[in-house]
Amino acid sequence: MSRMWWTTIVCLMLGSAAAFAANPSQMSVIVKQTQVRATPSFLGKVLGVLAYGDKVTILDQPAGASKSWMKIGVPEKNLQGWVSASALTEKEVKLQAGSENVQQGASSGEVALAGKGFNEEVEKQYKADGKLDYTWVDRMETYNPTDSQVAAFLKQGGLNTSGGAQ
Amino acid sequence: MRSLLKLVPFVLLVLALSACASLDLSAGNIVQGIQAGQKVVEAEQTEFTPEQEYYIGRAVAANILSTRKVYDNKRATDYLNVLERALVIYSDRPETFGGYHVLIMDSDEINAFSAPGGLILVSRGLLRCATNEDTVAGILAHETSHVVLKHGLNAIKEARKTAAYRNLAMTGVAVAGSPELRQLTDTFKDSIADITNTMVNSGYSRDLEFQADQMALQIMRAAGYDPRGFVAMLQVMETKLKPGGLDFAKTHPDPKDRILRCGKTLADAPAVTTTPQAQAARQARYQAALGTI
Repeated sequence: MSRMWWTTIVCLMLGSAAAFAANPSQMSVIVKQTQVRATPSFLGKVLGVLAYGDKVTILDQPAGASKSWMKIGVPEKNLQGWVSASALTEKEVKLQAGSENVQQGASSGEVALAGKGFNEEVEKQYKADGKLDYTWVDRMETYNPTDSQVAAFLKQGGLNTSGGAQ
Repeated sequence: MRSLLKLVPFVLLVLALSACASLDLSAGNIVQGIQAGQKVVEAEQTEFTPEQEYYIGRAVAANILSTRKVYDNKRATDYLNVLERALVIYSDRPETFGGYHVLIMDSDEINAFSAPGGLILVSRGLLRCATNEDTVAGILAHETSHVVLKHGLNAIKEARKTAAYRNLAMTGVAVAGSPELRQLTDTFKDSIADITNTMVNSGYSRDLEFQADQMALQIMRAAGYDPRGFVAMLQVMETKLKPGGLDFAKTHPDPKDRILRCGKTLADAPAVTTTPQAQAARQARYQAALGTI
C-alpha cells in the first residue's frame, strides 16, 4: 500500500477519535450504572437505566456554572432525559478492549479504557496474595436505599426534597 | 479508470486533513504524534479512572476490615445508608463508580475511614459522639467530603502514582497468569498500602481535614441539616478523645482547632431553621436506629 494510503487512514482514525473527545455533544457513562430521569433531580422519575460505557448525546446543558445535570438522548433506545454530570465523561469508554485495541486506543490520548489496569482480575490476584476476605465489602455494597425511601426520609425530616435539582 | 483510482487516497487525504484542521490539528502534529506514540501513551493517564478508584477503595476497605469487626445491625446500617444518600445527592460528586455505602465497625475507638469511591466505615465509638440526626449527618458529611475530594487517592505516594499511571497506560488488559497481571497487582498492593497506612497511622494533613470539615458544612446545609450539628459533634468528641489514643486522637487535628475554624465559617452564615415536627421526626428515627449504639 502506498505511503499516502497509510497517512490517509491514520489521519481518518485520529480525526474521528479526536472528534469524539472534542465534541461535547457526545459523552459516555463512567459509573457502573446510572438512571435517566424525567427531571434534573435524583428523586425524578426514572425513565431508563444506562450502563458503564453507554454513549449518550447531549441535548441540553444548564446555563449555570455547576453543570450538575445534562439532558441527554440515546436514539437507539428511544430514550431522552436527565443524567447527573458526575456519571458522565467526555472521553470514550471502550468495553472489552483487546490488547491491540488498548494500545491503539491509548495512543490517541483521548480514550479511557474500561476494564484496563486495576480491574477484577487484579482484585482476584490481590485477594489471593493477601488471603483477604471481601465478604463485608460485598455486603456493604448491597445497602442501596431506593429513591422512594430517600424521598420519604427527606420529607419526614423537613429536609431539602429537591433531590439535588439545579 | 486506474488513474482515477490513484486519485482516491489523495482526495481522502485532503478530506481527512481538512477535518483535522477544523479540530485545530495540523498534519505535522499528527504525524509527530504517531511517531512519538509511546510518549502520547504515557501522557494519557494522569489520574485514576472511577473504575480503578472503585477497585482501590474495595481493597482499602477489605484491609481495614481485616483487623476490625463489623457491627452487624441492619436497622442502624439501613438508617446510615439512607442518611448518606440524602447527603451525597447534595454533594459535588453524587455518583461514583460503585456508589456510596456505609458500614459500622464494632469498636469503642473514635474512628472512621473513607475508602476511595465511597465505602465509608464508621465506628460505634464515633457514632456515640452524636446526639441527634444532625450530628450524625455531620459525621457522614465529613467522611463523604474525603471521598468527593479524593483524599484517599492522593495519599498514594507521588512516585508510586507516576509508576502506576505508566503501568496502567502501557499495559494491555491483564489476564490470569500473565506477567502484566503480576506487575499490576504489585503496583496495586503498594498503592493500597500507602492509603491504608495514611488512614490508619499517620492521618491526612491538617489542611485536608479542615477542607473536609468545610465541605461537610456545605453538604449539610444543602441537604437541609443544621451545620452547627457538626460542631456539636466535635464538642462531644473533644470530651471523649483520650490523649495517646490510636484513633482520631492520633490521626486528626485537635477538635478545638476544628471547632474554631468551623465556628468562623458559621458565624456569618444564615441559620438553618427546622419546624418542631420535623425535628421531632428526626429525633425519633435517630433514637430508633442509633439510640443504643
